[in-house]
Amino acid sequence: MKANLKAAIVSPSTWAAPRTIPGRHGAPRQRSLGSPSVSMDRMNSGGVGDRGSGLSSSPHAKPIVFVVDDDASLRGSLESLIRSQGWQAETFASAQEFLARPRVIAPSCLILDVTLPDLSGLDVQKRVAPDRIDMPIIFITGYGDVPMTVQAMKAGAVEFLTKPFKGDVLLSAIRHAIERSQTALTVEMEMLALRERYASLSAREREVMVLVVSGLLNKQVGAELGISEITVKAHRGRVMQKMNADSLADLVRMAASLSVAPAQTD
Amino acid sequence: MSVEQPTVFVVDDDEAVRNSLRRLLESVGLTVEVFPSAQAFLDRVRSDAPGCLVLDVQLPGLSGLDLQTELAGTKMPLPIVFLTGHGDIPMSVKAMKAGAVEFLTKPFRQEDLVKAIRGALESDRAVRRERSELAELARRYDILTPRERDVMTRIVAGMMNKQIAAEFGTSESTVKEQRAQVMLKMQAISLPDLVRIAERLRSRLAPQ
Repeated sequence: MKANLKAAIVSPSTWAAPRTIPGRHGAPRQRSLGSPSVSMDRMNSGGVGDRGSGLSSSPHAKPIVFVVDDDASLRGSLESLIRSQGWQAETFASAQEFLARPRVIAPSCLILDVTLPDLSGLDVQKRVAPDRIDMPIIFITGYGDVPMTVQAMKAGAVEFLTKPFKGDVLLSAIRHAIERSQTALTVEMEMLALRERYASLSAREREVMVLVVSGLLNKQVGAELGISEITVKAHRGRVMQKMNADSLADLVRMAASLSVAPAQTD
Repeated sequence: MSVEQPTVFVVDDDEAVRNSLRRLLESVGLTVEVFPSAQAFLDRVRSDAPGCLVLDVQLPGLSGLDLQTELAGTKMPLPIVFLTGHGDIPMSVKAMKAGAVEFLTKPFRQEDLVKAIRGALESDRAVRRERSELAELARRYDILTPRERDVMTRIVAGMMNKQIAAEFGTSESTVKEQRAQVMLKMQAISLPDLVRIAERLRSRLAPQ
């Protein structure tokens, strides 16, 4: 039970400089790089947690498999199948129900029927997939046509199964999806930490960082910004410290990850 | 190295289909070659020819999916647009998972085929461009001496000349010279430049 709670809690302090604020699955997201802001009304209460362990353990939290299908007996049997593997299961009878559910930070995947009472499975995919690399989608369908299948695959579905399918085929797909989710979450957490550090830089420090990683010497940076070399060095020192960079090479790599590096010259 | 014209390679065992596809694609300015079987294609086309493949799933002998698998094992797999007369979902899923650009069921709209082909050709161009850029960087790396490579690894890891000299038991001025050689041979204009080059080469370099 504790593990579930941990997975469900979103620590507000971790979202100090969010790339995406954890809203609902289908809600439009705010992107705020560089302006630390927290949208408190979207946070789950009780989320004042340890900043470190909540973040770092989330790729290792208990995986959760979401099922969206209007067939109640199929939902039931999938739920049992999923739980038999030690994963959490959450089922929904319609797209809207699922889209209203707040995001959890845990490895996950989505089993989605193509035909739903409200939105189509493909529409759900369109809404969810671009922002949620950490929640791969497995489609299931009783009706098949190739164009629909191809569209789903092109939009990034990891699997597309026609009913009736074998339990172990689905389980294998879920396992792969969860692995991908764990990797995506790890990357996302690292990027979040990096963005937080970048957001803590002053505007001037960011200017200096960009020029330094483009290869300019301190003197040249000073000339570019109209400040003295000594001032550049001071800013540079603070940049290295705040970014937690061991070396210029390290900083260059961070800048590339953040996409604040200038265009390549080679 | 001459710039080769990208070709659309069409493989279909139905002669009427081959002919109509050829006419259609040539009418929009594409260069086309047709083959009656996967084997005929493999026999006649070099594995690194630029372009893309338009492939019927159902072929005599080596199937379209088998050809996809076979090509995936080569150095320069061509992007593939599949065509099928039969709507087989598992087959389409398999083809897409294996990286197909598109999977069209007959009868398809001509513009859908042309659009898919243009996408495939663009993807092939991009892959080749990246590949030749990487080959150039690898060529530069090849002319470094072993010691220069060791120095390069340490520079991009962030070590100072002094630290490198201590590790090698040489003088700082020797390391500076080697560093200058690295920058010159790799054609890097700054340390950040060298770091970016090293990152790109990382997948090509042998593990230390």
